[in-house]
Amino acid sequence: MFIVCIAACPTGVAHTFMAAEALEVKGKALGLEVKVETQGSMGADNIITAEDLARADAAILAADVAVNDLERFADIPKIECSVADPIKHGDALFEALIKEFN
Amino acid sequence: MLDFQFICPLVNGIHARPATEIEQRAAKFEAQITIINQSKDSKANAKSVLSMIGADILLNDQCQFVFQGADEQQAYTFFKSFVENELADIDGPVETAAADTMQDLPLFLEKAQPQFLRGKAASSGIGRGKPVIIGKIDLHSVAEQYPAADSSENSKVINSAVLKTTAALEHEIEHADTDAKAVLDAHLAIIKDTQLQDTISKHIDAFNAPAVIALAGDEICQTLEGSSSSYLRERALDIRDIANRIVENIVGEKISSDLNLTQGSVLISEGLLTPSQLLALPKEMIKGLVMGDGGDTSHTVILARSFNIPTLTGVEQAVQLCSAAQEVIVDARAGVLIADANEMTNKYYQLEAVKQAKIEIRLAKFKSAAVSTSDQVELNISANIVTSNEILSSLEAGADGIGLFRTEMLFCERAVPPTEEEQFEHYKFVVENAAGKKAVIRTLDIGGDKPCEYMGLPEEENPFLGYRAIRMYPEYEDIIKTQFRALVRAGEFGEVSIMVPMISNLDEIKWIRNMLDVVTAEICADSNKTVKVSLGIMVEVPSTLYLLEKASSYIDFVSIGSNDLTQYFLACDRGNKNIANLYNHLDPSFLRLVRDIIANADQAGLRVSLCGEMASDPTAQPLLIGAGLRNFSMSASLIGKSKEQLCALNVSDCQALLAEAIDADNPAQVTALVEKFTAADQQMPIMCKSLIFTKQAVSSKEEAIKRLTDNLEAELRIPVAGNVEKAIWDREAVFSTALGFSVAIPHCKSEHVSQNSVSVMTLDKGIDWGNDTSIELVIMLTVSKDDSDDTHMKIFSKIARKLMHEDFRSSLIDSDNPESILHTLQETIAA
Repeated sequence: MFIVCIAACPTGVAHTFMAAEALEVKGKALGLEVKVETQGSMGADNIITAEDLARADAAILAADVAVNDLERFADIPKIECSVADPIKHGDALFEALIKEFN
Repeated sequence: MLDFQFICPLVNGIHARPATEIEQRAAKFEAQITIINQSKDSKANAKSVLSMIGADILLNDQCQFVFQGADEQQAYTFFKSFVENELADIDGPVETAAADTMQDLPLFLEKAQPQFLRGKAASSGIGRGKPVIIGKIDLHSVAEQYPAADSSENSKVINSAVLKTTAALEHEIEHADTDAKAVLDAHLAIIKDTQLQDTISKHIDAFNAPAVIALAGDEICQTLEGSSSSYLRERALDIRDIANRIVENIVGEKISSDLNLTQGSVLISEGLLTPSQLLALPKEMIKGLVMGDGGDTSHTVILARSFNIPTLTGVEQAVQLCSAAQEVIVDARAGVLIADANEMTNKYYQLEAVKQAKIEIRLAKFKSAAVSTSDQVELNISANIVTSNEILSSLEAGADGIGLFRTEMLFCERAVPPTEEEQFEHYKFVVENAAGKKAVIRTLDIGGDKPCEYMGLPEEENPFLGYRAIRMYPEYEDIIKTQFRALVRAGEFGEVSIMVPMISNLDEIKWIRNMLDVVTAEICADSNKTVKVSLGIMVEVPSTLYLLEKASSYIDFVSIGSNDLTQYFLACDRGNKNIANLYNHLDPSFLRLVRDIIANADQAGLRVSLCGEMASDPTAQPLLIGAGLRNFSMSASLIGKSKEQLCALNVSDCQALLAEAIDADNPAQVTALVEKFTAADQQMPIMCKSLIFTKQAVSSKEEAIKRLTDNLEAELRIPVAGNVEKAIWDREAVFSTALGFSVAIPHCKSEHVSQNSVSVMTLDKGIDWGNDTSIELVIMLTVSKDDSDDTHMKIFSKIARKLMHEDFRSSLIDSDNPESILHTLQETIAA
């Protein structure tokens, strides 16, 4: 299963990257392929491409600010949550995702 | 017996004014009328204002009216209707002082919620001590000045004095306007109050009549001062007022008391304290000064500055706030007066003191050394003083000399001008202690704004453009000649530099040259002495720009008085709030004027210095270096900091900056240019040992954030800790930065950050970071707003990512060694 994710927080200094790390680490532990695009204060990094989207099974949008290029995710199943959720409840988040879309 | 219940509807409770209203109505009935305050378990006689005030009846207190006696039914009906229909509206709103919008209260203090008032900081620093109300008369010491008397004598004298006071009040009420009348009515009610009379009778055996009143006043005030309502506590002033008036009528003269300060005290005055009042008190006991009145330039304020007494002006209602307080804090940095600080407020001042101590240590090395710019151009940083003995503290503070000794204090507040001998002693003291360093003494700068009775100067509509300083010297030649003689005689003990204010044309310069030559000849002929004297002028009238070349035949130096030069050049009264925006020494045209003055002075071979506030303004300093200024003179307390700032500057960079600033459209653009210039200064490493603290005892989230931001200020990474502290809290308000795992990462991206930094603090035990999250590790990231470079952001993001790993977190939490934490962080970044 391939999950694409966005992490974005108000200041774009800290939580964006903590969330990204949490998503990557948890996903890997669950045997999932995860790609996280960070939308931080220095702009977007590790950008999710059209190719990624074509083969993605689901998306997690962990953001407390407006996500850039949100329309990219229009056609795939997704979970939208706070940037704090992957950090605080990473396991529960993936559990819900798997239950919903697998 | 009849009774009914009611809830107090008055915002300020039943204080003197509503109590008076109730008392007047109750007096019409025979029945005994009692108000029981069930919320406070107290009761009051409704026919006694003082009794009602003492019952401490506040908004929403549950109360009961009780009526007993012949006409109790009528009284019950009357008061039932009164409470239902009138009581809520009998008290007008109590006016509160408009909040000072100039500066926000420091965030930590705001959270501490002290009892406070705002004021304008007139002399910086923080002091605390026992509040001493100036003008508040100690009746006990007044009583001691009069002979003893027995109780029947006391009773007779007091009765007559009370009658006189009552009559006087009634007379005043007839002539008073509405607001004053309400207060006087309340005073009249107090004096007629049975409780006052009863209390007086109780103490009638005291030493003498004034002592009786003193004791009675104290007893009543004690009840009021114990009230939980600040408004009622303030009413104690009314009682003291009345007691004073009665005593004045007893002794038949105005009473005053000599203040005897026996411990660290804060002086509180409703109006303006006079300079002589301040001078009469032991300076070492004065920890602060608070005045309801008084501008920045009043002599009292100038004196307070010279004695380093933290001072606030424009504090309304300070007497009310402080009269019942045990201790007050005068914070002239935040512009706040605090009564009886609570625990968190004390914590704030404790943390502030720690920060100041760190900054002092940093500045210490600049105080003892002569300084030069980074490209080795020597600078002279001198002090401005107003009294001769200030030279000692100035030299200690690192002054390279005296750039301006204002001599007006020697002349004002006295009946006759100082003698030559008296002046000579002061000038000699300064010159001797300067010990070869430059000592510039300014001759009398006086006009219609600074009253000197013996000179009989007319009051003028526009004293700053009028008959002042050099312009009146010819008329008062005797006084001026005496001053010149004293100055020249001091020249025997070291070089004295005489500076004359308000020069606007060459004839004035010739006049003072001639005066100096005549006086010098007289003195040297008298005694075969040799004196070392140089002559200079203040540059404060714009016309002097074009005088300097010719002037150089007569004088040796000039000093730019930037405060007056700004107001004369830009034609704006610096005391007028409506045009305060115009009065700005960063105005591009003004910068150009200063540059040209310095250039002309250099060309004419005149030493040039600057002694206005501009000299210590960190924004103006690089511009002044760029303009060629090398001699600065300022308040001694600013010398250390200024030396530190000036040392870091480079002349050619500053010249380029000045050229840009002169080209700017307005002061705001100039400020922005200087900020950019300063920020471009050498970058500090994002992490360093001085930003890491391990196993700290911290009591709250507030404390952790304040300590870390304060440390950034002490380490020169941010200019003002409070601004960054606020930015951090603004971010916390979005959602807490503690997301479990015992770690909080407060952070901000702010224009108030000049150097990107990672601060770390581990705690000896967990603290609550909000939402019941316990924290043992705080990593604070402070990022500059206009940080265009991704390098630091990448470092922050790496650290943030790493925090999701437990081994990393515990290696930080468990460490008690800043060095090893720094090492761990650096490894993380390198990975």
